[in-house]
Amino acid sequence: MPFEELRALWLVLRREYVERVKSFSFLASTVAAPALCLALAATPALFASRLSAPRHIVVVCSAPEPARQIADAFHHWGLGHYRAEILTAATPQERDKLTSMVRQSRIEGFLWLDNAALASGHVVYVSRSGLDTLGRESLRSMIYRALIRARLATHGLTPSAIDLSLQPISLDLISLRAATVGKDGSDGVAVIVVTVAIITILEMSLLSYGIIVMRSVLEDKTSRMVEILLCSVTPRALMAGKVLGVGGLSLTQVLIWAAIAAGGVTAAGRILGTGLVSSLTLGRGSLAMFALFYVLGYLFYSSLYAALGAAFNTADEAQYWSFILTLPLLFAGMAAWSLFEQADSAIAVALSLLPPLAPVMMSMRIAVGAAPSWQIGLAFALMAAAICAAWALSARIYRVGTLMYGKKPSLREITRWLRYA
Amino acid sequence: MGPGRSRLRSSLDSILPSVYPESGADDRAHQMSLLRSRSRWLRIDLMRALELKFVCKSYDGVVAVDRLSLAISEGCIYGLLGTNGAGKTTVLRMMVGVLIPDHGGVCIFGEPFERRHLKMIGYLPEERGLYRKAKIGELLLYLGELKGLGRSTTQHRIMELAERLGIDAALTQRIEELSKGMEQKIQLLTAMIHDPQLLILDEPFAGLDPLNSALLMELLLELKRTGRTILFSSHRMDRVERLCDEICLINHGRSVLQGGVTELKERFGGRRVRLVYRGGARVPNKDGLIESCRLGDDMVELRVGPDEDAQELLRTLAASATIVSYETVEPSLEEIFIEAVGTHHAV
Repeated sequence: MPFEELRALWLVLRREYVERVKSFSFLASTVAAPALCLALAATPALFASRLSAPRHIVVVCSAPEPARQIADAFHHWGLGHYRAEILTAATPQERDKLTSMVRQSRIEGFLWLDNAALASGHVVYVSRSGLDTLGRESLRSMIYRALIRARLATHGLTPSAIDLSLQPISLDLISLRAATVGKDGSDGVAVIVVTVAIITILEMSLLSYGIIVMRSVLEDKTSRMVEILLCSVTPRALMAGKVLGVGGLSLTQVLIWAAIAAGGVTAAGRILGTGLVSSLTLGRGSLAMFALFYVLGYLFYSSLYAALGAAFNTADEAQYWSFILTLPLLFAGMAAWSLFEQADSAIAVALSLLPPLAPVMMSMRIAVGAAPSWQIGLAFALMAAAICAAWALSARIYRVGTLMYGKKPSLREITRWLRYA
Repeated sequence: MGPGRSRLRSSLDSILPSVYPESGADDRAHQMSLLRSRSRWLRIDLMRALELKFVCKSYDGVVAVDRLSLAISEGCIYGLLGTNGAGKTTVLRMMVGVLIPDHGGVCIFGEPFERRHLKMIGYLPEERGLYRKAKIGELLLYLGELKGLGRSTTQHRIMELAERLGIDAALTQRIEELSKGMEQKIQLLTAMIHDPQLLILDEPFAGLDPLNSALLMELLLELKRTGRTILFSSHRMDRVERLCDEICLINHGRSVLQGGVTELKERFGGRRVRLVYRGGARVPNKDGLIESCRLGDDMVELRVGPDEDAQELLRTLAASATIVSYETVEPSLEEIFIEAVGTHHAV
């Protein structure tokens, strides 16, 4: 590219970056996204711990020891704060009365353990709202542990003997993948958290900044600025300046988010202990790979979005094709979730090498430590080739499309433009 | 001064020393005018600021421009006329490299068009618009820098042109806060910001009120006086008539008529007479002398048939009425336009 063209590219890039980085929408989205994530994470705990009063629950149990054990377990139940009241009269009248109280919302619910239930192990929990799968499983496990303790107590074991008998085991998970070595699956959880965060940021950012590129091109077209610009800048430099300027903006935002996340994790580590921080930290190599695939993904998708902006007259007209462009990313996100446990399977390898899916799929495989270097290198090479092809195609559409006003072009017309350019 | 003009000037100095003396730049327009007239007499071609050679452009099999050739001499104002959809905008876009011709070539100052020539060209597109939210000063600075100017040079040019166009107070405003006329002036400023040798303006008078139209005309004439070449397309024949040295009329992408305005008027208007008379109830058309006539109060405008004698007509009229005045009339460009397009359609 000649010096004059490079200079023009730089000027377009600078304007795109500076105009947008100063805008309120950038500031709002940069601050709002982490704030929203924080709010989503903190709100349930806040409601459960501080804002809501302890919920009243009645444990009806004809045997006193299991009732005491269950009431005690409710105090430590992870699904909220409960105040458990114990009743030993497991009569039909009592059951009717409690049912009526639940209906009137005077109590949260009641647990029915009469002699038959204790003998058969078939326990009933009555509440207004019921429980989801997680809550039901948690309650079942809690009652089971309480009944075992009660049964062991009735067989004469002391509480310390019971504690010793029910002492949990420690399971060390050692994977030959680099990133999943750890104890008790805590690092595995951290890998899941980090991978989810990375995939979410990748998808959100690629989509939203691709659309910003599209809107930027549309703005040139609808404001009729493009004809003035093309007298000073080549279409190639104009498109590249836009894509790279908006790309710089997206990197700035991701870096700010990364800095906020790092600050948040460090602060949390000081409060909760350093173990959390170390488990959530990824190696520099992995971070560099994520950054690389993010940039590659951005260059690939944003050039196609630029072509969309050039081909159509309004965002509404481009909506259908814009949706089509989001599909590979959505598919990659779903595939990454589904193949998380089989990140080194043949299908996962194949999908991670496909350029439209590689940014998300390969990032996931790198995060779980399932991607050998040669596969990363191959994905990189394929991605680079795909970017060259996408840019060549988009530049041709851009050159003709930006000057085409009026009716919405058909796919056949757009294909014909490729011959004009 | 264009690159070709200095070469031409040295060769003409020996032929026309009195026409092109070493004098101030302000006299250049007058000198160029003399040069044009004498070069015609001497059969010397002046350097072309712009030349189209058999240019063709089609969209989806529809021919927009068909083998169009034209040449614009340096220092003149050239008008490109045509009906809606005649292909004017396509022609202008090819001149600035926004579109590439399917066939034929575009030459700028004697050289085949390349992007580097854009530094010598200022272009005002027909479809006008600017970033609505942008501040005018910042946008102009951006566009000036894109034209290859340095930051301080651009700022200096912005102030100079803004004062000339009376928009210096608006530089801190946003585009969306401006009136349409002001916006048009900003557009014009963007075309002139890099002090181009050749200005290509697509419908520059569209949307301007009479006051701003007059200001623009004055500006174009001033640019011409400083030796700039100006090409503009327009529907407004009165403007073209008052400003242009030469015109090209295109219809369906083909050149219908080309030449100097005076020359065309001579060609099309030689046999039209305006007559003011008294005492005659109607104009007699003895022996079919009159091809057509337009009547007014005691005045008639006549077109004499191609084979008829105007003197014979005068004698005939004098016999039936008192002739107050008798003059040959130049046709307006509008009439030439209508006639030329009509003839072209008939062909």
